[in-house]
Amino acid sequence: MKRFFGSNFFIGLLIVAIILVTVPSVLSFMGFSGYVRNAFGVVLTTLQHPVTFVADAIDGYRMYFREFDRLRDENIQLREKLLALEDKIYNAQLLEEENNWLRTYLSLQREHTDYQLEPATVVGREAGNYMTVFTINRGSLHNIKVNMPVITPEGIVGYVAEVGLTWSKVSTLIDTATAVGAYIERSGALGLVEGEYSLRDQGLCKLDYLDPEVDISVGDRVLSSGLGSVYPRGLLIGKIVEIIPNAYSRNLIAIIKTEVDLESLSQVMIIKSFDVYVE
Amino acid sequence: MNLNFDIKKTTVLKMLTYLGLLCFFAVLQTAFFSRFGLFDSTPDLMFAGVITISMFEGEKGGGIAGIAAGFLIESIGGVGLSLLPLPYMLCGYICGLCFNYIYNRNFATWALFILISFIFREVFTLMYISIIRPSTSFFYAFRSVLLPEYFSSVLAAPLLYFLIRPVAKLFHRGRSLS
Repeated sequence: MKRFFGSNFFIGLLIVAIILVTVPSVLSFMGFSGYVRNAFGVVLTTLQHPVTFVADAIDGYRMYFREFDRLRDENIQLREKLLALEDKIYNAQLLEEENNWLRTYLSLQREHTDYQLEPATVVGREAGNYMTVFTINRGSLHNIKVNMPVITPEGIVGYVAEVGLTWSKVSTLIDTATAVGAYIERSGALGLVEGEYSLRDQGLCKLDYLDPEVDISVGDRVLSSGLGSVYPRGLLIGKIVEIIPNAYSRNLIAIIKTEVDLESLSQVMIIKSFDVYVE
Repeated sequence: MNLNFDIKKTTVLKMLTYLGLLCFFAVLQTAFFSRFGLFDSTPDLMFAGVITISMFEGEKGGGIAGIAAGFLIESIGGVGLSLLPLPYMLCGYICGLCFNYIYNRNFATWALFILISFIFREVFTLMYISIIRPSTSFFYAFRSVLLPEYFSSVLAAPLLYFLIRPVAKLFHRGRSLS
């Protein structure tokens, strides 16, 4: 042991080590760094710059993948939030539509205090390009009867043609089996609105039995006359888009475009009772 | 005082080469591994370097390498109390003695010395913590400082072995080195 730790070399090393421990420590506590330590510090810190540059590059590369994972997770969370919010927006839109519909229903009720109205939803349509018959979700359970008029705030849709327990079939204005007593709002000329097979696919109907001298022009509004007791008086049917002479008589025929868009119909009202028009 | 060593040209070149390597390890430890350390701890490359040099150069080379390594790392990485030259020197000297007179020099022996020496290194760290942060609990120091430092240093040490070995082979042609 003495041979190893008692040798001059070891003693010399020990002295140097003790000096290197005490002198820099004392100088450091006094605020000085020492010349040799200072020189080494200058050289080594200069060498640290390129290594730090490489470390920064690697760190940046590593951050890219960390950021990628974080962004991917955030993206998934945001997508889920977005879907949830889109659902909310959709539900809010449905509620808004229902709200608007109910407001219209209420204003119509206020305008026509004699009407007893029943709101209904279109649940089925006739398979074809232009609907003439559709199904609604109200029936005899809701006191719906055949021949009750069906309307929207825009105007007449048609009448109840068939009644089930919880459903009904509605025949629209453009159906060939339909006929509505009507008058031209501007001139008061009377006629009969009927469905026509050749006009059905275009969503049109005709106003027939017009006097040849009648005051009529394209754009005139056609309303229900109330005669026949099926429809109340004063409900809008549509507007005249064309006037043609009847091929078989001296009368005029007015082609009418219905005010109600029958293709996009989803909500209707059934008039369960009203005051019948008496001339 | 007769210090019992001759200074030859090859010896000076060898010392300068090892000094350069130690400077490189010091920069690597403070600028690179301080940011990308394993187990959130900076490995002590200088200590592993001293043990590796002592394996190839014996107790004299190990002792000198220990002083140099301790001084270098304190120059750029330390502030205040500068204790490392002493324990590094002792470790280099003792490991060099053991390598010279007791054990064969191969990777397995080197690895065993690394594993044992770093235990003493962590004991020194514990003593250092107890001086500068006396309120630190042993359990916290063990879990948060000693264990991570030990494992990160042991895992990074083979890098030094494979960097120093070719240099040692260059200066010890004719000797069989594993």
